[in-house]
Amino acid sequence: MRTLTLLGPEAVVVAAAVASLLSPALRPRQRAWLPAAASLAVVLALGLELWFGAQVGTLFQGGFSQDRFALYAKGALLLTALIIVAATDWDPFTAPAGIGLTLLATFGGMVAASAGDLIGLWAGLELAGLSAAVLLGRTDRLAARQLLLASVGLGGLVAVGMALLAGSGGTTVLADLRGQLFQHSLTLPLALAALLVVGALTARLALAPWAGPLATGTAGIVLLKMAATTSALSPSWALYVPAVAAVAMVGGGLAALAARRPGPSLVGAGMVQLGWFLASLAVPDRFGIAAGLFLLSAYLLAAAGGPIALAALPHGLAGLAERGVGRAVAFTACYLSLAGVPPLAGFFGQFAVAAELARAGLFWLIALGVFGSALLLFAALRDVRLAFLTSPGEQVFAAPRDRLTFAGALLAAALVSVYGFLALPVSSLALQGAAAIGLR
Amino acid sequence: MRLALFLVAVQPGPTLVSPTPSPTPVNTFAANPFHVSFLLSTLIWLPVLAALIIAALPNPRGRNDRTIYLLAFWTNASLAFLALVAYNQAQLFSPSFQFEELIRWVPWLGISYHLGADGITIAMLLVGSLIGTVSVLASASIRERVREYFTLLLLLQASITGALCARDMFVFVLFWAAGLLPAALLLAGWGGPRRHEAAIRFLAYGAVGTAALLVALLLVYAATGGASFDMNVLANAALTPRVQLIAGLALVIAAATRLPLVPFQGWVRDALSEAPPGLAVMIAGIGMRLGGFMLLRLLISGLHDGSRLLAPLLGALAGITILYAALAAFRNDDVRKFGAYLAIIPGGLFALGLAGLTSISLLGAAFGLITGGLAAALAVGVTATIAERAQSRSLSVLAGLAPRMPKLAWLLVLAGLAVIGVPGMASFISEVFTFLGVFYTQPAAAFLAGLGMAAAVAVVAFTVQRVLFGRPRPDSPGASDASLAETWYLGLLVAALLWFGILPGGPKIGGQVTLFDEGIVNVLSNGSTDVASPYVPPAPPAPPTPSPSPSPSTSASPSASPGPSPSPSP
Repeated sequence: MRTLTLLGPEAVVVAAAVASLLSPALRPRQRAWLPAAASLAVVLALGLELWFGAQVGTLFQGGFSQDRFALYAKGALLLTALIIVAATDWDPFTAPAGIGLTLLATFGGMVAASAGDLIGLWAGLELAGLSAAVLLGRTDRLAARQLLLASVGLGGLVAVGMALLAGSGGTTVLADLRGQLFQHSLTLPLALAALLVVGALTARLALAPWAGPLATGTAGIVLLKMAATTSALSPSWALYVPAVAAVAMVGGGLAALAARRPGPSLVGAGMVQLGWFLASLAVPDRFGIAAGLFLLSAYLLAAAGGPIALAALPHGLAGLAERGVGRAVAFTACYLSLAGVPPLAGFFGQFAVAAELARAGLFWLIALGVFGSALLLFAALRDVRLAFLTSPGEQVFAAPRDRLTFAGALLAAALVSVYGFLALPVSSLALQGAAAIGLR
Repeated sequence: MRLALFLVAVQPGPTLVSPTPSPTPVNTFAANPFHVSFLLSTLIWLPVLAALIIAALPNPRGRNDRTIYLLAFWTNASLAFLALVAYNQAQLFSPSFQFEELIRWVPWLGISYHLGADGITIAMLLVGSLIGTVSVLASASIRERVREYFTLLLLLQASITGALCARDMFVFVLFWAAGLLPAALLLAGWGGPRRHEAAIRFLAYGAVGTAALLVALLLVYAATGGASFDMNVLANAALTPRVQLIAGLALVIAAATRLPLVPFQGWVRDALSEAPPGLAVMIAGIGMRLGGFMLLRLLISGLHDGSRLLAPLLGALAGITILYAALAAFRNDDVRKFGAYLAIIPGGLFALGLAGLTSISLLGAAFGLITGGLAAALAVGVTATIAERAQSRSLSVLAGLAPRMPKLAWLLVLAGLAVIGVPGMASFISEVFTFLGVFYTQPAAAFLAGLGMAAAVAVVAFTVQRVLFGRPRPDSPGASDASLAETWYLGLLVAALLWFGILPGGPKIGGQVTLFDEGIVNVLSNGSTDVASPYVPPAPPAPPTPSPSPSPSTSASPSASPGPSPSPSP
């Protein structure tokens, strides 16, 4: 019974994914209810996670571990999935595959979040990555092929790195491996193995524009867990991670500023925030990882809502508020959150990371991050002005209206708006999550 | 049950830690008419609520424009009333912050939702709410996208109020930065022909200021061990002079982008001359003062060594800024830019007062935040209205306007007098306090600033004479006088300047019983005395008095410890 309750959320998500993938057999009229049904399934899974996820336990001889970290990460992934499923304007013919793959990617993330050993981590990471690649293949086959190649290549590097670590530590269970690594002195092979894992996972974060928030979130979760597990080896990536973070923060800001269309601008904003997330790994203690986790969930919510609000807008942003107010509000809230504008979710996450960096004395990284976020302000001014303060012009069609997509868009906007006001319970849970993966 | 356990485990919900009840003065007529538990939160979140209501209000083809305007106006009027309640209930001679609210927010980072108000804050809140009301009145001519305009204006106002009330540095930064985008969007959406450049420039300087503020904040946070962002904790931390100097320099840069001070004044001319009148009044009246308020609250109150080290720099910047503003106002040919340059002068005077680091100059600076805001708002408001009513911004076209727009002519004269600080205007008192205090400690800066003020007097006299009484040009476009709404909003500013100028100690019946106004100087000195106390030199030891029968009780010298100086009560 206990097993069932712990695995309840995963079971619901998998069942919903399978049902969705099998739903082309249904009549088109019945398929129209698929997004609503899938949304309900995700809400149910989230409810089960919040209800039963508070209990701590392990299953499958340590392979599945339910702790505060898993609770936090799975909650964030399920909310992200809910936004995607509800807010996307699904085409009735491709909806079954799209929703099914989205839920599979969510399941992959949940597996990684609960994984107690390296095998579970890797399996969850790859499931989410593959689902994202196939999902992209529905719209852009070439990009999907490239994403698949990159994911497989990077997944292979992660696997090699994990195997080297497991070989050195003599175990694949994360808690045991962490203890073993603390007993080893930092040797070159160990350092290379840790750098390989962290480097490949960092590169997977860079695939975010194509892989989408769920696969990126899964990579982020695996990265946090591996950073905690290999914190004894943190000197091996102490230079690499801040350097990549700095490049992402400044490069993302410049890319957003240079972008001519809102989509790339949003991608640039996402890269800046992922840079901030990476920067949190420069402080591999409980508070640094907690700040990273706190920011990652903020990123996921905004990265899910923003692109969906922009999807299928043939006339760009001009006058978006007049064409679809739900989309305009969701786009603005998510974009500004990614840009770290107060009082939205991203600001709170980035500030938490900045505070930890300050504690660690990494002021140069804070300065670069602030610079990147400041660049985003200009891009945000340009795009928000377009959405709200310009006329849509003639011959421009209104955005499609649907109650579920409207509700989904508003949910994204509401979540990134109230995130900061709920910072007390959310950040406390993030801190407990960081402690749960062995950090002090 | 499990969910409940989980909720307990993550400690959800706000934990209120001993909010101070609103104090009640005993000797004030009509004091404490009602009790408001969360007065400061109400002042912050009421405009946000109104903004959300306005944003959600359907407005097909501008059918609800009037309703939206009235909603914004009455929200601001309510805020002004609440601020008046706070002002009325403020306990004089009580050094602690009042109306405090403290809720834990992110405990592991030491962040709390901590609000509080001392005399300076309460006076700023009063003026801020007045400026808010004036700003709505000045926006009566807005016809396009009224819903969006007032939504953004109310959000901007809420962010400024939040920053004024913050007693936690995180909360301060949150509100400080939150106002940038609404202001830039207002500028970009409803500004003049060069609005985009103005908005980008405004945002650029704002971003620099926010970055500098963040650097200072995180530096002090790290230096104090990363325990708390609470201003009380940070202010009492023992920091090395080096840390204080670096953090103080960052704070000066942050403030210089807002006040503004040379060389960070680049945004003001464009922003204030391109902004719609309502926004220009809001920025000049209270937005720019926020930079000064931050400097007073964080640098002067918290970093005493840093303040002493940076005082000469601050004084020099102040003097240069005043001189620059006066000369730039003289050189330009745009009436709105003329107003914008005049609006820079109070910021320079404020910085001069801070540089003095004497109790009288700090009181002058604190008072200057109020009077400078009112004077700057009046200057930009009246010049914007003249440009609109005379259908031209060019000073070479505008001449001999006095017969055609008598009300605006008077208002322009009063705006000029308010900026240069003539007796009868509130700015006179703040300037006198400032200069009296500064000449002791920063004579060079005071001399430079005095030179700038003399230039400003000449510029104001010359321009007023030219615009109002010069020979009218035959090809100048037709001009009309101020509308009712314009007269009201400009009149309110003049009334406030005269009230605080003529009755700085508040009206009293028979010279004893205080009426509804405690006196702005008395309220302000409640905060400024605390701020100034670390800079008051210790009293010299009393000379030994020859006594035929020395005894311990009679030979004890008075304490040399610096204590708060008595509050002036003019």
